[in-house]
Amino acid sequence: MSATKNVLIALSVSILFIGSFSGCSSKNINIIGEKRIEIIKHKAIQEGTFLKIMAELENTDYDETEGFVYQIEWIDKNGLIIDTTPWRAVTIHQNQKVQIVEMTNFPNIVDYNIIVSVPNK
Amino acid sequence: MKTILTTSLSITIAALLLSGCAPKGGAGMVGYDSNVKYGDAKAVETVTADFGSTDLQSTAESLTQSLLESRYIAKAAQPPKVRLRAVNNLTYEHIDTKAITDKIRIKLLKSGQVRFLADTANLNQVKDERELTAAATANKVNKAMADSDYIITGNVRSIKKANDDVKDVYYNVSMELVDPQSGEILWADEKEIRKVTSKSTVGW
Repeated sequence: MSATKNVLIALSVSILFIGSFSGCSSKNINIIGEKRIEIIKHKAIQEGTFLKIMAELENTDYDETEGFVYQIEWIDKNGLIIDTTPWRAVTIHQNQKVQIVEMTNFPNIVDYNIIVSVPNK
Repeated sequence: MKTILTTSLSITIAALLLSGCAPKGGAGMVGYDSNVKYGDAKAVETVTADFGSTDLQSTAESLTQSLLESRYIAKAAQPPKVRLRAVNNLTYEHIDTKAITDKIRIKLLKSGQVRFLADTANLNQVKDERELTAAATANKVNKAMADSDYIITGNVRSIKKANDDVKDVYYNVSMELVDPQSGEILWADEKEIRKVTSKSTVGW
């Protein structure tokens, strides 16, 4: 009985663990327009008192070069958007990746949103 | 007689209030159906290849980020006092370099990592104001205003090339943090911008 209980606990912990990680792929990301760009990974680093983020974007198309813009929203502990970066234009050639790095200049930022806007063709 | 006068006056006031002052398009809106629209101030602007709002914003943003990461700002025991000096425009077009430095200053001040002293251009006004109230200790006051830990200077350069089909503009905005006592350059960084105008196709 005790063994079964342990197995059940281990299983539920694993499910919770996997669940919490799988959810990260879409959190903090908002793609406006056609989804021709993929954000393969993104993470935040604490740089002194400021939050710095890194994201890797990929154009998976073998034929088309993609041009798009992105913006970062900086969010404080209350969930308020304190600041946004200007929209930045990026071009990614066929089947290539680009790494973007941004840092806020507000000391109380704890979260972020990456907004990618891809124009319609 | 008095009642007629009062009634007509009330009607006139009511008519004025209802007709003349009512804005077109609803409360708080004037010229709702005009051709003027408000846009996103942070949108990417590609009207011409000249130095534009997007270049100003991205330059200020990246140079501020770089400066905040430098150890003289990030690792300072207390926020250093900085004075912005002129950023020279070495291009052939008119660029308001003060707009770049003002934007950087706003961002740095919001970060709380840096304190700023008044620009040299505004220093006389500040001095006059202080002398009005602190004539007795004028020398001490002047010293406090002059004591900057660091100064920020810079240059904006451009290279333009064009043929019949393509116009290429390269901007380089470089800035440096200098210790005014030793003259040592403590931090320097640059922002490069390339803009290409093609006559055959329209850029997005």
